[in-house]
Amino acid sequence: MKRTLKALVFFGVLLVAWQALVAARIWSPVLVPSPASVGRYLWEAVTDGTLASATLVTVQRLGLGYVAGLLLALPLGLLTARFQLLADTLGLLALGLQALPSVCWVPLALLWFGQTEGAMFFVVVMGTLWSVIIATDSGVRNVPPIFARAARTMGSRGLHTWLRVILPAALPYIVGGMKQGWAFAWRSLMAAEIYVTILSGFGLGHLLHYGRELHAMEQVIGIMIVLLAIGLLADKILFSPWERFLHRRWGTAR
Amino acid sequence: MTLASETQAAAPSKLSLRGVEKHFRVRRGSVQALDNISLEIGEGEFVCLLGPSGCGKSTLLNIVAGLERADAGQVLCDGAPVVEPGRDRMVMFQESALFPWLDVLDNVLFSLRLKPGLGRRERREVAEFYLQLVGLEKFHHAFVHELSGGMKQRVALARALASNPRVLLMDEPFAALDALTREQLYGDLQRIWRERRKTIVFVTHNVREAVCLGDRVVLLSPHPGRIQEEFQIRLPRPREINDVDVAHHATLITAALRGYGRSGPPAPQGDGI
Repeated sequence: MKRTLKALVFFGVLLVAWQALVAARIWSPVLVPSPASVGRYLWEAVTDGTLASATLVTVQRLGLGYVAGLLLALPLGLLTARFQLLADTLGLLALGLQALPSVCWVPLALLWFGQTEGAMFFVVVMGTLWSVIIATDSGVRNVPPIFARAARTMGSRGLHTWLRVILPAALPYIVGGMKQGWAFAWRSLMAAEIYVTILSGFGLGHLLHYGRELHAMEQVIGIMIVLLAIGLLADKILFSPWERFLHRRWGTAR
Repeated sequence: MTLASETQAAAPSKLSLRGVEKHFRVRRGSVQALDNISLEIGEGEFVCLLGPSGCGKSTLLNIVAGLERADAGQVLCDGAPVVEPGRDRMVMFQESALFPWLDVLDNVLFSLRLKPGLGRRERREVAEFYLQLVGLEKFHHAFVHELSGGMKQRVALARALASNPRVLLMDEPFAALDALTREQLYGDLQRIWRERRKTIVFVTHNVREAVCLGDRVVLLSPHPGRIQEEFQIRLPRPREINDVDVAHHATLITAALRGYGRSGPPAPQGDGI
């Protein structure tokens, strides 16, 4: 509770500083809108439903692509860790593509899929896939061999060993990779939404984009605040429980 | 199956090692780790394999466990050749090899879940029985990192005992513990061995430990690993590591370990020292 309070105070101070800067009239209010005008925009966006529908569209795209990316990446990462041939081929490709800024997938996605949900899906999957493959692979390679040996003496074989021993033992790495994959997916989706108009759904990136087109700075900043909140929320809801679990079990909490 | 049938000690096995050889490939050629090891281990016998590091004693244990294959010769467990790990031969390693993502109870249950024919309730009762046997009944839901080194090895022992093996293979299980904890575990292991009637093969480089625990101490010499000498230890149990008799036997074996190896053992050693 105390920590929440401190965070609230911190954001309060930021807000006050922002208001003070606006009041000092150093920059034009067109470029630096007041917190109140941003608040007013957000309130309108909430009441007329645009914010909710845009958030829903974006989060849906993100969730769908991310889950698909994970479902694809986990087995692939296990396979590259298990078979040297796959590590030398697919693993190498993943290593290269992981470093590729994921926005680079957008032009390709557009040409292949057009201005459709398919393009969005593809971009998010590509954002997720490679870093989760790499993390799973290195996680598995870092599992102490003694775990698998001990499991074998107890009668564990094949798939059972992989699912019940190797996978959980690699979990600290995998969760790290999932977090990174999430960040990449989130970024690439925003880039795609700002870059491309998709007729089937109007996401947060589009709101941001039109804010710029209309010179509505309060909209741009308002949406950025929403994006920040989603990022924080995702971390708290999706990853914090896993990390708490890992810290408790592995004894790595400070 | 019931708790009673599951916790009733299984009959211990007889192990025969016949001409076991093992080579390891290194960068240039290969190194012989084990040379023609033949050894008979009786039902319920407690045998310590003693030797300096590099004598292949852990390799030998792994071969008996079925974790590694011998290049020549074979290991028979109750007359059947060992080709892979089996629940009848459980292994305890120097590091506990407990799974950090499971709590103490689930670690013990891991081996029981792999054993066919046990219901949920029975598994749980069996696990609790063995945790009590090693004195950890109050730590069911502790996580591995919360345990001391000695407690970890107790859990590992409970986990190994839980599937009721006939043979217990122990690879320097107490080497990383402090002296005080080790002494307690020597006592516990002897008590459990007496109660549970297991055949135990115990690998160590600690002479006193070998004398304190073993019915028989098999001395291995390094490069390549060979059986150099065997010592019957006919001291009353339970033995204490600081017993004068244990120390006396240890001194004799240490002398043998030091260098009689090259010129052959001196006459008075062997049986009944």
